[in-house]
Amino acid sequence: MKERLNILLAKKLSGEATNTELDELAAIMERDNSVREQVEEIQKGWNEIDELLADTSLDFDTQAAWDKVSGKLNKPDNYIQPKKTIALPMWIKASGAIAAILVVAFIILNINSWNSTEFVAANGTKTIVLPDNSTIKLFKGSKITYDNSFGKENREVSLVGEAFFDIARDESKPFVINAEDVDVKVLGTSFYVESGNKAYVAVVTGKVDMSSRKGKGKQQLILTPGETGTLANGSLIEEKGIADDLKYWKNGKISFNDVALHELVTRLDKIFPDDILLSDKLTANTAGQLVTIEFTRQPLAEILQELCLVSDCELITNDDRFIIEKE
Amino acid sequence: MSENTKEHIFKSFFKTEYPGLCRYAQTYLSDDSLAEDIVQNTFIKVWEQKHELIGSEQLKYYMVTAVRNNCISEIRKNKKISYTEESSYDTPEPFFSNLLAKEELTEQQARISNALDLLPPKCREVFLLIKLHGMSYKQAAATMDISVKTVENQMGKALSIFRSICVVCMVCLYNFFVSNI
Repeated sequence: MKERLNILLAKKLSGEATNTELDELAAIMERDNSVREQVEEIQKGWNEIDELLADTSLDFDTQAAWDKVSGKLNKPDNYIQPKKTIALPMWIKASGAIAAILVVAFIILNINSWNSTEFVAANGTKTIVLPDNSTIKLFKGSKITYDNSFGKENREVSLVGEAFFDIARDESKPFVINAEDVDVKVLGTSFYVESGNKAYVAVVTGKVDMSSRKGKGKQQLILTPGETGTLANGSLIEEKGIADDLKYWKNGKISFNDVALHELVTRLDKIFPDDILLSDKLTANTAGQLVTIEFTRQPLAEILQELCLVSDCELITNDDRFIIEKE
Repeated sequence: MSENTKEHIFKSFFKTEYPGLCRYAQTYLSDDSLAEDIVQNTFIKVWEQKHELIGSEQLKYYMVTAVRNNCISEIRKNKKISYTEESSYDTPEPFFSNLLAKEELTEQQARISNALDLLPPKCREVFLLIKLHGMSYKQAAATMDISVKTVENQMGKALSIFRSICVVCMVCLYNFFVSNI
């Protein structure tokens, strides 16, 4: 009997008791006065435990720990670099001059396929020029890798993260980007790519062929200027925006001059992978207000916060969805 | 979600959860710096291998489970530290009293930390998951791979130990008042 009481009490204090159990507990307390008196004490003690456990956090130097940990994140060392060592067989070492020539020849032959080239934008945006004069604007935390055979038979790079590409035209050698879950193939064009299982491609000029490497659903999209492709739950989805707006990815700037809020939100929704919605609780006046505002490349959350400040709204975040709500 | 946002979220998550997770790791490992190392390495592994969890509500729950598992494998590696799966009633080490003795405790707090030390290992584990990490009964059961019923029983046991402390207090107070009239 006493055990049952303790179990119920514990559940109540932890917020886990069902209504039936609360009733049961109340009935027990009705019958037994001494229990009723103790419950208050116990409740107090229970809360004190929380304070006690929280207090002890002073023992750790969290800032120092963070410095240590953050230094190890995204470090180029963390990425697996293929290392090739040349093992010299014994007979080469033993045969003098001939051996020296052979060794040198061996090294020269191997140098070209030795390493792949890798760029990591550890601290901020990095612009890279490839051997074919294509440029890649690599955004913070992203990485580009390509073989030393780039430009000879093909033009192939691997992307982890986000980058804006401006590709030199060369019909004999299609440019291919391996962006983890998707492949992006181009002729000569400028476009934005974000890799991963929620991959996103936005085309500013030219034409791009985006295909998914894993999963079911639509496997390939041909995207023209103003169009975006998103990988969602394994399927590719195509959407249309305004090519000029998509220049945001190239220039890092987008400006709106006297644009109605609801239209502005729709246009933003089309150029970012995340969902941006206007709440239907907003009045017609608020939704229709004309806004003049300019954004430079900032995190989407920041952009929307600024927009909300200017338009007297509130930003609500929900997973990958942003909702502009009434203040 | 951009990489930038993820970094910010991860950083503030670290700053909020790090002390509690270290405290939690200490209940398994008596070595302070080892506990910190394990927690730090777990954060790094999560960044590298569970990147998609960042920003989701699952992250905290995953971290606690990961820290617990890493602590247990650490213990198994160095078999010097004995870890009993069974909730036996051999006197557990006075763990909390040692930890909390570093600060000035009120009488009430001292009583509570003594009570915490009386909790048998399994009971203490369950108790910490729920009190220190704010897990639900269901989450705690999943973390420890036990049934929800067992969690309910263990929490009941923890409470009965606290209640016996309280009763003692009340008796003492009563005696105190009576003898001073």
